[in-house]
Amino acid sequence: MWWYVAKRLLQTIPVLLGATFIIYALVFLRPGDPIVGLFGDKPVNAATRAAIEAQYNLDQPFIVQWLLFLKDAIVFDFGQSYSGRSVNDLLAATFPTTIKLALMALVLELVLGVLAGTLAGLRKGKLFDSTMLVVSLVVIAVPIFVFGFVMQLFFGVKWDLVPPTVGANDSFKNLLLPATVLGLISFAYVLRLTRSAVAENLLADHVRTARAKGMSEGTVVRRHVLRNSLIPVITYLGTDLGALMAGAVVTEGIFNVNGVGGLAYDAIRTGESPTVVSVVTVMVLVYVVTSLLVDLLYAVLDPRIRYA
Amino acid sequence: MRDLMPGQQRWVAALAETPLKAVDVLDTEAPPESQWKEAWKRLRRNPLFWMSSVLLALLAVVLAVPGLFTDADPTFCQLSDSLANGRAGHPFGFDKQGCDVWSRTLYGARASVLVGVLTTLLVATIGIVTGAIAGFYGTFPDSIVSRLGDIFFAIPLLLAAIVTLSIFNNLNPDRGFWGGCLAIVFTLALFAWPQITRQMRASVLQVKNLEFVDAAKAIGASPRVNLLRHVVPNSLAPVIVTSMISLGVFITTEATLSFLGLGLPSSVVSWGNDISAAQNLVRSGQDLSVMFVPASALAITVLAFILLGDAVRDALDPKAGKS
Amino acid sequence: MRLTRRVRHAGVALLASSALVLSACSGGGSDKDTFRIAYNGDGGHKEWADATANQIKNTLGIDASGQSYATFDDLRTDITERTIETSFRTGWQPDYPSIYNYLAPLYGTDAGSNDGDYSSEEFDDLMEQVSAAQDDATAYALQDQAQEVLLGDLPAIPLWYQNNSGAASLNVENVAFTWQNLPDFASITKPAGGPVLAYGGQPQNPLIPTATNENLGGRVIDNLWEGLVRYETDGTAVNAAAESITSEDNVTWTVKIKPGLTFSDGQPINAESFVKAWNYGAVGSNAQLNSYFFYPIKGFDEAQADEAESLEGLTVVDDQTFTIELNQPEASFPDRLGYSAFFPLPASAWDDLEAFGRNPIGNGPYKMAGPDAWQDDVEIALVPNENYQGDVQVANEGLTFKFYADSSDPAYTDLQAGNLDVMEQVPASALSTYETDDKVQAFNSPGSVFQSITIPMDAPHFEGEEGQLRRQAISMAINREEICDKIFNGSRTPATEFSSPVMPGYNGEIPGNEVLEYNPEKAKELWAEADKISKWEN
Repeated sequence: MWWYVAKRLLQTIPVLLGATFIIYALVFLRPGDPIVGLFGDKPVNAATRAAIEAQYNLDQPFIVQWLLFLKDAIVFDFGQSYSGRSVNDLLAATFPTTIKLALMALVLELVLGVLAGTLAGLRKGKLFDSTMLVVSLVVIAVPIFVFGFVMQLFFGVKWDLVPPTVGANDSFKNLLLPATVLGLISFAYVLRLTRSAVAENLLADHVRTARAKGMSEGTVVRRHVLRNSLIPVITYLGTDLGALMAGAVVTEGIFNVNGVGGLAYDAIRTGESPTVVSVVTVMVLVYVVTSLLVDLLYAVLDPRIRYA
Repeated sequence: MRDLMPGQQRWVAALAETPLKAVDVLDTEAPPESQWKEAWKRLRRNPLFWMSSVLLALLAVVLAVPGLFTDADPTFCQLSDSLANGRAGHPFGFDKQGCDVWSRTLYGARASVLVGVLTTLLVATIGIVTGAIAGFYGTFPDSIVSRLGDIFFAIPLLLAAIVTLSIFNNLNPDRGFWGGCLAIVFTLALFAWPQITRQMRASVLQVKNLEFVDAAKAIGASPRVNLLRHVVPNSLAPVIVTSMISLGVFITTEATLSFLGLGLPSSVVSWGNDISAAQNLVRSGQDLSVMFVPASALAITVLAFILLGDAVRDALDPKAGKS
Repeated sequence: MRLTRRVRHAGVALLASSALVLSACSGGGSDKDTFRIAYNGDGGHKEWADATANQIKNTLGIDASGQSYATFDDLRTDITERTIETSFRTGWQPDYPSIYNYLAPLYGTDAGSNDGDYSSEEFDDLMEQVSAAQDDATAYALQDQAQEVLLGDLPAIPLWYQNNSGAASLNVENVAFTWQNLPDFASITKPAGGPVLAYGGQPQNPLIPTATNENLGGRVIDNLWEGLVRYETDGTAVNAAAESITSEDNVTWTVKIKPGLTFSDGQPINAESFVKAWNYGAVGSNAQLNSYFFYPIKGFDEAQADEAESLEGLTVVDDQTFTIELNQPEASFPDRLGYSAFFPLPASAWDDLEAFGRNPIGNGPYKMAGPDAWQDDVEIALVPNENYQGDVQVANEGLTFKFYADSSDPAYTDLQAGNLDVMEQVPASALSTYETDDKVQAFNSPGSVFQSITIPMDAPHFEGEEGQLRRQAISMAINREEICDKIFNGSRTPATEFSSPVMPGYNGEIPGNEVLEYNPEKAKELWAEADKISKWEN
């Protein structure tokens, strides 16, 4: 077990190196000049430019810039943004909010998706099943920002049920609407996955055996159907946390959430490579860690899997 | 009395109720049916397949000759028509710039569908080739492809697309229709291929150990022939299903990128551009139809592709779907 | 081995396809002539750029459209490096209230912000005369003449002035807007007590006057400091920290500082406070974003190039007096000195400039509310400065800038709910409703931001006589009234010249400004005439 964990952690090293390299290369390739942006409509002075370039290693070749970034990133020091703030502070100020938002979305989609998916799977072909199928398809088909605007307009502005925007106060109530919007698409996928897994497992031999042994239907569903059906759902959720955090770029923008999506988007716009690369690095880390956790969870859910 | 669940039925039936003969007759003369032919048989019986086919056929007509459904020029916009209501020849009224909403929705289908189709084709090609190589040859090529896939899979697609598109944007903001579409296709494909690769690899691993492959090997087929003639065709099913569903996802992603200001150039008529241009109207709760017409068109199109993907999955893998 | 070849083939195919995409994206050279209005997609310019392009297209029958750059720096980079081949948007807010500041930096030959590379001897001459003019009336008349030249050549097509389309909550009274498009913060009263909550955003730079060139940090600095001169709400410059600023030849200026002035913590204000701060701002390696403002002072080039550690033109005469020597005569030089780059710094600032930038000490009507007054991404709180000896009357108990990220939509929602007291610009989504919204006080009057589209002087078909005709045709093809009304919901005022109606000396009736009026017939005529010189290929 521990050997497996260690091996998996070792495997993440090339992933992290490769991902930061690619993002660094992309930001570097961007022809826009961050220093021009700093000056607005005013002319840029050569000496001032040289001073700023030296401060941020922009005068170094690309590979050197990347290596210098890595050297500090190993000890979780992500350097300074062009506006002179420590990127660590920026991450510390935004990541908790986004994690909270993404986790809320994750819990919402997991609970609602599994619940609705199980019911739909048990009543395959009935009215509830067809309704859920239509709902999930519509959710997948409509762009997420359309949902965002419409829900903000109705729940936030017209009916005044929740605050339309979040701002600095990231309380549970304030984040409820953005988290719902963020989790919607994944909810649809979880629902569909659970539904087909439940429907398939209901016909499996071990379930048949359990019934034949005279187990009550509730116990059969809980112990034998659901537990097995959760495996594909957990796999999906494992990769979803990272996707949710990236998807937050849109949701956070609509609801003015002070999160990492907005931070990344602004940084990309202004060519702030230190911030962009740091945000992506942390997101990749989150992805790597959650997929490890998911693999370990398999062992709990599926008795056939054992890690040597 | 409630329905008996499988396993609770009693399997004693009168012989008269089970016309065994009809079921068990095997036509030994008939040519063997391929996986695809059987799938097609099942597909034909699925109403969802026909529904999506009708939608897609309609879409094809709109793509080919949008002028059939409107006389208005989608690029002719007069501010004096700004947000005007519908009138003869302009059923859904005008957007803020005074362009005809219906006409723009019809003509806008081209860019959106093109992005979806081309991205899917490119992703599927890359994914099938790399996945087949990794799965079939194993060892060194497998670890290269798998590690590369891990790396690209770990980078969040949306963020990576934003960075990459801002490069394209920068190189040439006036990309025109094809340049604009290809930039998005290339960007999305660059970061979306690992999913198909993984699927293809797993599928190939499964197929390459099946008996018929061994049989082919035994009669002297070279590895290459084996891969191309036997393994790949029999591994394609799951990839095709995923591709059809992700086609819809790519169309919505294009709209999202336009919403972020990084999609197609604004001179290109597209659903993404129109939906994002209408966002201020929705914020202030007025003239909702300006957003809803292109948004509905987009949703229906995506829906058609997803339904088709679902139906094809059910047909190819009867165990998962019907049973 | 077969395998490596296969991998290589895949690699070649990938490279080939990317090359194909790239070449397609760089749009193969077509023979068609097009008119593009380049703008940055992150600044809310799409709607008017598209509308303007549509009008040009409809009137002249040419291929015209807006062209979005992803970000402001992408656009700026292309403009600065002169790689842009199309017309582009330009917005200009003056640094100090003077029409001269709208003209010389933008259209003077080789001037810093002359992005279209316009050059006219006549215009340069007139600008030099404005600099040297001894009284306002003469300067105003000369400025009008200079604008007449511009209206003939149209290096840029004036579009409109951004209005002060601001709003205030029902909790505050006496809200008025200044020439800077900002509320006059000090005079706002709040009957219920407590600080006035004003719209703001996380400053991008430390709060050091020479380091801050953007508006969000600028509004904090402007309230924390007061310069040698200060601007009244209508833009008139009056002496503030200076007792007198005099010169005989308009080259060497003698500044006498009022005696007994102190910073908010009691440190004295003397000649050193100014000279040291300006020298620091001008030296290139200090990378101060406002260094550009010191260019009129002698020795600026050397200081920028790090060949000198101070400006040669600055000399401390005694504790309360210093002299400024300029590169060339400039009669209205003192008018510049109210801009934040020219603010003084206390001696304590030099101990730890970084810490100072977080918690600055100034000499203005307000001071920081305490060591933690600046909370990142949340707010900056200011309280009245009891040591302030200037003329500004502070009518409230404090001023708190609440920070909002990209969009001002949430701020407007806060304002309606009374959680924010003033904002200078309501979001686009509220423009059509805010003036009838009974939850807010609405304001709408012309402001000082001038917006135009610049057509580079060497753009194809826009050179020489043909270019002049085409520029006029483009200008007359634009229906400014209609765009201000339909796109901006009345939050812009159609331009009548190259400056702004809130500037001292604004005329509004400069001969030749009928070229800024919508006149489709004339536009077509001029365009056809230009076609005779060289055909525009549609």
